[in-house]
Amino acid sequence: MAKYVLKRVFGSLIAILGAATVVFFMIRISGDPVRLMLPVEASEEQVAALRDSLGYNDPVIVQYGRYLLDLLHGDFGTSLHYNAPALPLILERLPATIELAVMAIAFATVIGLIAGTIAAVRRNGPFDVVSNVFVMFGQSVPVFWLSILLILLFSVTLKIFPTSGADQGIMSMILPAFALSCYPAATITRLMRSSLLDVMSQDYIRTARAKGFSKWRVVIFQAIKNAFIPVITVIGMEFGTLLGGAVVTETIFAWPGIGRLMIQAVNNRDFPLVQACVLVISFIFVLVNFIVDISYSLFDPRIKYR
Amino acid sequence: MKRKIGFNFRRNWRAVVGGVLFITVVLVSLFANLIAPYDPLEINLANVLRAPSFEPAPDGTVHIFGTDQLGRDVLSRIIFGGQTSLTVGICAVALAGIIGVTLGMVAGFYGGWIDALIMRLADIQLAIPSILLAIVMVAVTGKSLVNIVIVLAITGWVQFARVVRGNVLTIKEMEYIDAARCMGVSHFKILFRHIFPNVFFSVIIIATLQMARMILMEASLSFLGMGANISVPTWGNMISEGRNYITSAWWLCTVPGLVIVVVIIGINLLGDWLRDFLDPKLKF
Amino acid sequence: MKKKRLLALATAAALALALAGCSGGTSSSGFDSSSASSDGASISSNGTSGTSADTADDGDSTVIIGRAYDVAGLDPGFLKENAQVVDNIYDRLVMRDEEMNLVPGLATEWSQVNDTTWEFKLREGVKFHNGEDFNADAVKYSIDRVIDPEANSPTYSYIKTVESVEVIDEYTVYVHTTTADPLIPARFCRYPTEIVPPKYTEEVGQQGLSENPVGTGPYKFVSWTKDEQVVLEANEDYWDGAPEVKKVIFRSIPETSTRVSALITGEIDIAVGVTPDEVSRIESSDGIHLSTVEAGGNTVYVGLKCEEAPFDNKLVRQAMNYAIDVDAIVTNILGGAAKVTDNIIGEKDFGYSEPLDGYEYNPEKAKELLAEAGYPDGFSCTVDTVNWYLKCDDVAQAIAAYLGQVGITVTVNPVESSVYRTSVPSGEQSPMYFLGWSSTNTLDADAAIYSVLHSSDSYSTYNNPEIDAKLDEARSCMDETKRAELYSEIEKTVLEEAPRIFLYKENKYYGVSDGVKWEGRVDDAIPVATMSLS
Repeated sequence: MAKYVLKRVFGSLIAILGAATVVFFMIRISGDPVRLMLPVEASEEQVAALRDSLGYNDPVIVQYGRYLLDLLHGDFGTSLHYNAPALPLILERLPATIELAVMAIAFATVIGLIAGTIAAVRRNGPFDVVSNVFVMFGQSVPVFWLSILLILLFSVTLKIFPTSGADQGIMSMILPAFALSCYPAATITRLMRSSLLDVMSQDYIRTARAKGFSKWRVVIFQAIKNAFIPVITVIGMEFGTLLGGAVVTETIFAWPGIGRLMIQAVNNRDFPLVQACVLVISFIFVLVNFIVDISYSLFDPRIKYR
Repeated sequence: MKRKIGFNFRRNWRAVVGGVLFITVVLVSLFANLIAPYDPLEINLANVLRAPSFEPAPDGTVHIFGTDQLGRDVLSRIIFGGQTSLTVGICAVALAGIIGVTLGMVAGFYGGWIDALIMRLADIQLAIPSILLAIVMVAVTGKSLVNIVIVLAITGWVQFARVVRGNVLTIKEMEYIDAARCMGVSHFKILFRHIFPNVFFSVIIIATLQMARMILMEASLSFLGMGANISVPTWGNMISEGRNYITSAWWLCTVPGLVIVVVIIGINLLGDWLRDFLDPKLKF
Repeated sequence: MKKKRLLALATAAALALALAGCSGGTSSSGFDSSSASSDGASISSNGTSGTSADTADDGDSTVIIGRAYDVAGLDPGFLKENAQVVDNIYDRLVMRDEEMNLVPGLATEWSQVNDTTWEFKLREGVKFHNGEDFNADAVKYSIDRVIDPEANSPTYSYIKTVESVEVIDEYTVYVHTTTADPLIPARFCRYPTEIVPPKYTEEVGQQGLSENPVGTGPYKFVSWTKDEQVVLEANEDYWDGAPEVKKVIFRSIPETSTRVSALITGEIDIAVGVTPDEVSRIESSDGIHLSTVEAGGNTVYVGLKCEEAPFDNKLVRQAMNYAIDVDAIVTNILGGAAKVTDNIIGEKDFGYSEPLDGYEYNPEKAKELLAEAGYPDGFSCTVDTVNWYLKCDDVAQAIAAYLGQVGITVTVNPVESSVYRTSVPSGEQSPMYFLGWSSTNTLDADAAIYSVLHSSDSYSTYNNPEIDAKLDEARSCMDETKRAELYSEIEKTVLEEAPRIFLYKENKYYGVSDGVKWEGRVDDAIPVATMSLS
């Protein structure tokens, strides 16, 4: 196990570095930050001078080397747009994103587990059909459409939640978290249902049923735990995605998270900030997946790590 | 436990409803030229933002789903938009599925450094924001439907690969795989004869899930100015254009939104039914 | 702050558990229970969050302003967006009143010494928020740090005619310019000429000032939470009297419909940047009203690359102007949110003479002109659009349809904003492209047209030596009558030559709570000190 963990840590570092490298070259193909830093009416000489002073005239490979060296010194670069160190800018917004992601994934998991279980046990019953429709709706409704309607209904008409911002604690969080949870909730419901159906057709469950234990008892004490394994992967992935920031939701609800920071940085071609964002996001991603893989072996002893 | 012969609606309602929905949409899209009442691109500034109604407009035209901000018939745009949206969605899912399933099976089955490599690739992929990927694609190669399919497929393969890999990890510990190995069956055969059928229904479910995500992603890309050219109507760019009018002209994004919901429901019902059908032991 | 975050996290977890406990029904009832159970929590959280902005009209005279973007920094010499926020913290030497006249700010009077020298007499007894004295050294320091070529100020070009600032005595400065510049007073009422405290700025550096700004203005800086809000409080010792509004919060809410929703629910008092689609929602809601700045935005046009065929032919350019019904576009697509005009200089700008109307909608004439130009069957081309202007894509599609009727096939090509920002000044855009320009807060024709017409400028795709000469002459002409004449001549020539498809000048809309007395301004500023509450 220790050897496995060590190997994973090493692999993770490579993945993070890989993402940083790909993004480093990708964003340099995509455009010129200097034009975007200067006012619209700036002259070409001004642009050239600034480009030179920022070192964007050097060959890309030289820039890459410089970037790696700086990283080794713990320097994540300076945001061109904010003219401030990039890492603190990201860390400032991280708590907001984590709060929202935790809340959304909690909503999604609870809804998904319960709905998926009932749908599987009462297969083809009325609840199964109703939950099916909800699932499909949750998966196919555009998030901005849902978000705007949520604001119109719950903020403007019913006046229960604030429309936007993050200054009212839990109240500010419920609408965006709910909007965000729709897609993962639907995914989890479906997977839970099918996975549970799968498990319940296994011999040991049938044996338990044959011994006269009630259906619900078998489901709750034996089947759910095993059916949950494939669902963990999806929860982990969805959680990782949410932690990467939800651009549309954060924009509509004016939520000060990492998604908005990222899209602004990409739009401004703020090279150092984009690179730092990707480093942080990939770190989180790799970490979450690592935890998911480890928890796999806790839930299913049949999976061995070598 | 013998399977019933003959048609049982209660068991097969999913297939019937899903099939009817999906096939209708496909047929309508295929024969858009014959079915659509008006030219989807014809602009009429005298008749903008007309609400859905069966009453004829002053110029005698009838727009049951209303008209958009340029006076174009929403129904006709939906019908023509289906052509593009379905093609993009299906191609993207297929491409993502082929890449993802292959890599996922290989990773799960062989383990070791191959697994590590593929899973690191997946991590790298997921860590790179798809918006950045889309911007780069558009900046370098320009806008095209092929580009969209590629961007969507690149962002979608990981989901397939991970779930398939997870399944394979469990399956390959089972006795019959061990038995096959002992009998000297080639790896390729084991993968495709014995393992693939067992992951197939997961793939179908992921594919139906991804179909929805692809169609929605196409909408977000349009919204960010990186979708198909606006001269081609797609459900995605109809929704993203209509988004500005959500408080004043609800039908502009609601109608294509509902069409997407209906199509996704159709696809999912078919997927569910297929899953039950392919795996007959599931009769709890 | 950290504690609050943790608390919110814990509550989130607790709520999720509660939800798990009570929810046995459908997924939709799960949502109902979540909203119901947290309803109670809102009362307590309202009680504890004293600083929060949840009650806009609670009598402590706070005004909350919702803008689409957060600031990138609060150092006025190095702004990357407009000065709506910082101009409440810092003063300029010259200010504008509500009628847009230049009035004394930190300078009490100004006059011209010779062609390239201006004298400013400074206000005495003014102190910065940190107690530092305002004097001639502060003025020199504030300008020097911006015109320093090493500093790379993004807004340096606004004062690039300034060569140096000379301290004459404690309350007098001379501004020396490289060439004669009639616009110096207007330039000193606009960023980047805000006056910063020299000692403090030296001490904390550019980044320090950007995060903890100190000025002489009517409001003092309190806090800035990035992507959330900037909070300011009244400067009770302000030289022009303490402002009536005691606290201002600039919140960033990117999505327009959310911003308007927040205005309707009373979470904010002023919504900046309201789109025409949201106008009816504001008009139909109680307690808020719309403030319209007619033609207060950009003059939007379709630029033509006049040196490429077929746009090198004047007749073709004129034909295109005749082929389009701009009135119908503004009425039906923009919902009347712009003013149709063939003028290139704004009504409020210096240099505006009379309304021009050169091209009525006349497709027959357009066809004749095209035939005369040698294109009886038209031609094909591409028009680039960008989301900077109201419904640019829709307008472009309508224009394409109109041009299609006279035989010109136009493909609409929407370009991503950051790509457009680079492609237009480097001349890589399509032969037809959307662009909008305005004089911004200099309110002068030079800023409104020079960059887009002078052949030497990167935004111009037009080359006419006569126009170039007149633009250059007007730029350094000290005689107002002569300047006005020059601009009037330029406008007429441009109308005749038609280097662009003339469209319209956009309106600007603000949503304002009835409790706040304030009207949107042509110069885009939001001087909170001029607001009063009822």
